[in-house]
Amino acid sequence: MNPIAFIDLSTQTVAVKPIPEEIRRLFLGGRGINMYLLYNYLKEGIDPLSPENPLIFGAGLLTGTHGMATARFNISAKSPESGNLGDSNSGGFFGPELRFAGFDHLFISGRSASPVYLWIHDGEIEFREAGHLKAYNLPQTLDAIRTELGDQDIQVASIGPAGRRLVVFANVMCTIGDAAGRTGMGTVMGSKNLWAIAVRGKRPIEVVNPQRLMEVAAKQYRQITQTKGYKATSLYGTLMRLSISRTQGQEPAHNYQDNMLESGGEEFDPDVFVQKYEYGKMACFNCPVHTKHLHRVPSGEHKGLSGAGPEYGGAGYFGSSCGTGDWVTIMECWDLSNQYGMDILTTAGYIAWVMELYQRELIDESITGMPLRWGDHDAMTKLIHQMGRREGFGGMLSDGWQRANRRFFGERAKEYERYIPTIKGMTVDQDTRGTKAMALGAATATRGGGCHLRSRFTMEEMDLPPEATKKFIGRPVTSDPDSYEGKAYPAIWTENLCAVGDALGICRFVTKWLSPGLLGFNEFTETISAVTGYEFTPEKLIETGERIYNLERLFLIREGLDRKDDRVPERFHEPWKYGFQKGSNIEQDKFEKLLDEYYQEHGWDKQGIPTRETLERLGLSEEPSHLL
Amino acid sequence: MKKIIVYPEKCTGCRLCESICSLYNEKKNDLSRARIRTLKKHSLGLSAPVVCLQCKKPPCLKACPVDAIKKEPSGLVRVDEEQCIGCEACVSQCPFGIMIALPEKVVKCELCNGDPQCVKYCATGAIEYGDPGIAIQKRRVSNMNLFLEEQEI
Repeated sequence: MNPIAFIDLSTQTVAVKPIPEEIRRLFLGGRGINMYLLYNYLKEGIDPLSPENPLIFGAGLLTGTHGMATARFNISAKSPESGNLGDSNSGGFFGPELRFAGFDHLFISGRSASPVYLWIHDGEIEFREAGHLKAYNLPQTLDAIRTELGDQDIQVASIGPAGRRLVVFANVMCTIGDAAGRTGMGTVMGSKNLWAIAVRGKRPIEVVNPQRLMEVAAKQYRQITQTKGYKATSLYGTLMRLSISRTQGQEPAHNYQDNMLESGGEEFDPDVFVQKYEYGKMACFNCPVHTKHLHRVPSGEHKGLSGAGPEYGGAGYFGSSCGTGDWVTIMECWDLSNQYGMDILTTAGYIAWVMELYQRELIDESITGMPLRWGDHDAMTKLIHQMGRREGFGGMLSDGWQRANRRFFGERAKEYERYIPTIKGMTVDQDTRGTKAMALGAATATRGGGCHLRSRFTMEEMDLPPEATKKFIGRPVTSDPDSYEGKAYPAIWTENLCAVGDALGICRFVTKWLSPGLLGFNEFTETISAVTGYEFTPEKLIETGERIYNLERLFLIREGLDRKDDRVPERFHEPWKYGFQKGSNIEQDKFEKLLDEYYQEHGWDKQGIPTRETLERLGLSEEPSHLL
Repeated sequence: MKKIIVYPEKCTGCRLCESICSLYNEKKNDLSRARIRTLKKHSLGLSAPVVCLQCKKPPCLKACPVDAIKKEPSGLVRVDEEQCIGCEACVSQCPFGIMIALPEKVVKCELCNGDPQCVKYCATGAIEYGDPGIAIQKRRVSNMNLFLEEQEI
């Protein structure tokens, strides 16, 4: 397996070290090894934008192999957006190509005196001047570097103008439709004067049993493409979620004030998008599901507007949350955010927040400089330009909501915090009032933001009988999404699935995270065995997920977080107004009981701190162990 | 003869075809060894597969100074590994750029002995293994239907 490169930008030096097998077996790769490195090397309490903050890139253990949907890699650091755990995952082709170029992980420290990009090819790492890229937006930067280096098969991970200007929610993108969006990893790159990383290589990824891998892959390919939901997933991608949210009343409408958007109309439907605006589909590495849309506006005022996406994040947050169902507005906001290189969910979350403040007359035009009515196309696009350029009212948001909130309300800032729904400092990305296992997963998600990619027990809303959930996850779970009963176990089961998936580099969309018929721990053990020869049992793999999650928990605890931070936004205590789950909310006392159950199930104490026995059981009691 | 037929408009660019090609033919997880390639227009997110068309008058065959490239009675164009001296003259002559120069040899798509693996992994049908005559017929029919649709007949 490939080594890790320790890259010091201050001195422009590189040290290459092998990754000990012991670490591999404990943490696999990707997010797992990233977390090991972060916990071991990050000094407690540092400023996320200081040169001391390590920026870690990690491809999964199976990334780039012939396993299914093995596209993914993680970027981890301390987050400038939340001040807590920073970790973001992306698909595309960068992860696989990083491995073909000869490295599995990059540990980047220091700060370059002037802008640079890294050119990594066949085991070599070069530092190259990047100042001239200043003229380009994010997608243009990707192309400019390919052209400059003279090879169209190069993969690039880059920041855009927002990352270069240290907007705290800047992303890293590696194709026009693939981003490591959340937690401001692009900002950390910008703070290091590292503007991009280009990778290309012709080094094979070692596979111990090619014949077995072909058999396993063929089986998994059939499993994925023959699932009942495959047709819809490959047609609508993440926009599937839009129909479900709209019909079931789970829309984050008007910044979560409503759970259904009245003004959306019939046009606000994935079918309309696909028929009117889609010109093609884009897949990640080795994935038959190809969920990414390509859009183009064929006529009208915005004719010619074109790009990749939007995903549900765009439709739900630039759409419902900002009070519009207009596809053109959603697409333009989506494209602009990508061009500046800003996280979609945070950008949209902030716009919805200031629109609510405007609706409540808590801020007015004397500070905003323009009316901020719900769904106003011009206001939304203008705000995005301002955030990306750090100009005007939008520029006040570029340093994060905490600072903006203090500027709006001064000493009374604390009492106005309830208007921005956040968890652990990040804007939330799903309304989980009516699904209690998901609400628990969101409240405890280690990277904050109520993250649906850390723990989202999707089966909860499938009306499955308890016997079915027992078969799929090992314990029966009530089919009532509103019940708190026994919801700790499924939240933890999903955490482990997500952690292992990220450590392997496999996309959520081919796993049981999406649908019970897809890949799970059993299938993972087969691919791992064929590629690496490591023999895991599903139970051992689940334990590996727990190990990764507990290490992230230790990170949070070291930074001063505990039980008080495992909460849902205040707004989620208010009942849903519409739909068949009308009245659903999070009742604090019941939620606290569920949290107790969750801690106990995890082997954590009442404050949510892992006990000595738990750490010993997971082999974490010696951390930080500095084995690497 | 049966060939790999390409429908570029259906390609999503996942590269599963390249991945299985290198694993099946070279027993290696190394996409630089694949005999089928995915071309990309990154700025538009579009892709298209490129693979040997088993030409009737193969320029690669003509370029080979040692007659290592042969056209079989079935129409398949094959490189004889024993005879190949690795001069790569064929690589520069292929108009599609799909003769693949590896560090130790030159390879090309030889249709996996009549059972091309890549087409089995194409979820959208951007590559198909079949008779080009029938494929063209299908295309004519679909064009006809499109015409009728436009005329609202």
